[in-house]
Amino acid sequence: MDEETLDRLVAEAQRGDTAAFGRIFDAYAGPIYRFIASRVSRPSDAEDLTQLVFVKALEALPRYEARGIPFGGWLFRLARNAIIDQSRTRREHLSLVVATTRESEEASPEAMASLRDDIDRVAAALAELTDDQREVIELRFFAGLSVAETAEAMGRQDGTVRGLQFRAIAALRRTLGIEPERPMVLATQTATVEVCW
Amino acid sequence: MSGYEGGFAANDRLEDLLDAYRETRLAPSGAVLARIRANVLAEAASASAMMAVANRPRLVEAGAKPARWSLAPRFSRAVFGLGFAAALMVGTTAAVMAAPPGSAFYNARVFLETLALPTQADARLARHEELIQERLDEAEAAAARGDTVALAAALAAYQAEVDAATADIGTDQTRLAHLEEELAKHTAVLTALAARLPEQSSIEHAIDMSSKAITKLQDREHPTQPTHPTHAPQGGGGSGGGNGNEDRQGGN
Repeated sequence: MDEETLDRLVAEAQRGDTAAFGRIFDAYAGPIYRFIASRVSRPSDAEDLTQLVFVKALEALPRYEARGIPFGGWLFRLARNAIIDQSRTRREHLSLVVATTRESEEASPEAMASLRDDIDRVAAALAELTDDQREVIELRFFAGLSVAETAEAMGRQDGTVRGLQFRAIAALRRTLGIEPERPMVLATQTATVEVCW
Repeated sequence: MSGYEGGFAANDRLEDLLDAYRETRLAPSGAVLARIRANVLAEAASASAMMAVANRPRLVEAGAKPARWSLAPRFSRAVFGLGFAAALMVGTTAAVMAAPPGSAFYNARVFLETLALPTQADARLARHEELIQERLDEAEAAAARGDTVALAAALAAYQAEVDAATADIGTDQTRLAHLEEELAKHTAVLTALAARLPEQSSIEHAIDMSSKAITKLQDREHPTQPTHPTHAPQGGGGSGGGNGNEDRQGGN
């Protein structure tokens, strides 16, 4: 969804247009769910929190002002706060281990075993990142936010987010054993990927 | 492989792994998203209704504020102001009264219809029943179009209207019985709708709410009897109430 359409939908939703809010939901529900699912231990919690975030967004929408604040960043900040509130209430350690892994029915047992192994390795590598690095990966790659939206959601500067992303990617490559042959080239490549992703 | 190519390959591999992780561990199913959507949009429809009510007095105040021009004669200003306000009111009212469920003005329309209810008790109940039926027709039409937003808005308005009717009806037995009969018919219509669209939780809410309203009306009709009469078989003895229920369930 382009920025102009999003601004228009937000303005219409602020005036009480339910259909406009429905379109905003359709654009952001998947990314918000993925972000939350990456930070809570149970899929049922991810579902409840996703719903809570959109209800909170509905309540807070009249106070939202677009001036310089990306809507996606604002929405993900609500999601982030909802996750923090929930973890405080339940006194539960935020775990990256999700109970279920969706499996493809067409895949062979060997391919499934390999996929499961890859997924477990990624989960372990993510767990080794610092909290900030992991959050950048969750927001940028799992939720698909831009650098500006990620910065708004985390309450950080764009440059800080870029730095955290650079170090997170380097750490993930190192842990997963997929380092490029010449480390000097890494910075250029990461910058290229950052633009693409 | 050069270092440059190696860097690309490493990024591609990392991207593949993160994609696989995202799709297998984090992606929601369609059913989950549909469930969340229905609940969130039902909330949105309710919030929108409240917003329409809250904004109305502000609109009236804004229209009634005196103009601040100093050059034009007062009479012309007054005539222009009145004409403009009248035109604005007629235009806005026409737009609002034609608003379909789910549109920006729908809740304002529902609110205006509530304001125009007659004061005489029988006429008021008759109008309540007309409005409830209208909301139900709108919900059915929205369901037929597959418009879930309009469906949620119409059902939220339906529930609000049933609430208002239940609150207004008083204790007259004839009116209580009539409204109860109407709501029972609506519950049957809503149940058929829920069977067609099982994923729409707003329909379940409306059924639940209608059933509760019927129970309330029954309580008022028979204030001395228990909420759920047991219909114990005659001659069944003093402790036969519970058994009567069980027998009835068994028979079904």
